[in-house]
Amino acid sequence: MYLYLPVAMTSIHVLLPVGLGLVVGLLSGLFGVGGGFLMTPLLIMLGIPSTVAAATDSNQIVAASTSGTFAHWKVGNVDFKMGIYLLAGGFAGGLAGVQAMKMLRAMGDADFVIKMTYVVMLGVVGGYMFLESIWSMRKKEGEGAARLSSRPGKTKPSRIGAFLSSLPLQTRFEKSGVTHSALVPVALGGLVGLLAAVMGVGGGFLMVPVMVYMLRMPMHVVVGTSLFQILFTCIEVTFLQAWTNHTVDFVLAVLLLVGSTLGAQIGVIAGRRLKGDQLKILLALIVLVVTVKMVLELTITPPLMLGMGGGH
Amino acid sequence: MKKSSLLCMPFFVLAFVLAAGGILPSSTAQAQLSAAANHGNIKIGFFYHGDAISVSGVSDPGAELIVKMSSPETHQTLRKKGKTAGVLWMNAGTLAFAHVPNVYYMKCSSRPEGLLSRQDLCKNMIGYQAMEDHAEVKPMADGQKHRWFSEFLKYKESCRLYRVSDEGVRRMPGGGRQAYQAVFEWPYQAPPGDYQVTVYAVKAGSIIDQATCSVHAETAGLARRLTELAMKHGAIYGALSVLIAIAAGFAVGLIFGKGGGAH
Repeated sequence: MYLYLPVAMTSIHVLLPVGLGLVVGLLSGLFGVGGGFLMTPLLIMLGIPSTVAAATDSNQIVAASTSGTFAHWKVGNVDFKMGIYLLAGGFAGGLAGVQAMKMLRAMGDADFVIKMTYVVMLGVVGGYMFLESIWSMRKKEGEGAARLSSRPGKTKPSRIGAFLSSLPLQTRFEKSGVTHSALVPVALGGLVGLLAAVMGVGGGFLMVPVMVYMLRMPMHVVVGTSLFQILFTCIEVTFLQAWTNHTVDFVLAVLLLVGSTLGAQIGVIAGRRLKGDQLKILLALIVLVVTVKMVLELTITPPLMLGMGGGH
Repeated sequence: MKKSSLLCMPFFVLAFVLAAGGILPSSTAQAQLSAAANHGNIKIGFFYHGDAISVSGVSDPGAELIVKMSSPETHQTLRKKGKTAGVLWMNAGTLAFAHVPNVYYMKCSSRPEGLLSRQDLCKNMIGYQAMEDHAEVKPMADGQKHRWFSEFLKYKESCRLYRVSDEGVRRMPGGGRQAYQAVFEWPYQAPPGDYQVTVYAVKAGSIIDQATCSVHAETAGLARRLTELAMKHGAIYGALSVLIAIAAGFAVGLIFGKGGGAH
């Protein structure tokens, strides 16, 4: 059965967006990412104009992240305090990023900066997560064997750790079991918000590694907290896109969210059966596959030399 | 009256009687070209997935026919790809194509380039070459127009907004006239608006007649109401989109919660 999408001005078989939503929702529930970096290019491949694809994707992420946050909240995996600090920083960073993009566009370098930021960030984040998770899994195996023959010693804090501990406004994040200066999540949220605005994505795939490696939060709390933060970011984006650009296609969003809300729940259930390191490796692999796809797009002669205006 | 004229008189009378009875073909009496589309008004509803438009009519017998369906000329700006640093393919600015239709479909009974002079083709915007000659592309370096217009055609064909075929007009001669029919698969990608169908009858290298009819495509029902809400009341539309998405997320969460999804 086909449905006409009134804002995208095209027609689509209902199973395509529902299936797409299911897959991306699954990733969302599993890893705590919005999935915009996967969904938007796939929607464009289905013939949806790029501006409508990006805005409508935000709308469906609102549903998927509500579903995912709710499911994680029920099992105690959302650190609301940390989420609010990150959100405050992300909001400020997003505003700065939008201004930076305006300047870059005026200079004519925007496209180059966006694409290179995408490739570098995805490559670095994916590569680091993959290697670190493999290393961590091996270390645990080694520790298991060593525990029998020796006693564990005290771990020496790193220089970065010592610097972070010396910052003012130290506060305890009970749910995550960590203590940080309030400035740390605000600043890191700001950095992710800035990069997300430059790259035109929600920033989940950047926020998750920041929470895991810099804020030292447990992986399962990271997923729930990331979804909580993404929910608010996407509410703002959806509303602004609908109000100012009229690019949200509600019919498409409903089809996507039918799949994504179900997928998010399945992802949460599946995530409970996987270990933190296994989750990180899977996410790293997906990020690396997207990086390779982007590199190929940048280097292989495109089939069409002209495209619709707007979008990245 | 001259004697020769008087001798010819019975022949003229006979010819008139035969022509009136439809026995002899008469170009003046039967060259009246007609055109009509089966769908003058396309309703783009919730379950719309394109349409089939049949253009039919009668023409002078033996005439070759060109049936063209297009939207009004417009101005389109597209992003062009180019190499940055000699290696990376990126968006390298925009190109503005002026005096080109957004939608252009054409079917013919024979190859138009073999029927009409380039001048006639250009004058009537028949075929891609005519469109290229007529279009303005900016900014454009000398000698580059053909290359980028070819890319423009490739892009439009990939969007199913342009299609040109040297066949597809069925001619059915009979009764001293020629009925014809051309069926177009109307793409769902074609936006709402007014489209003009023009039929050219060609004989001996020139257009002997032309007829037009129009096709109007408009959104209807729920699709129309949603479009109007999105375009005219963006804030309400945005707020509703957000609220419904949150409600859907919670609803699915509750359903899964009752099913024992928690730890």
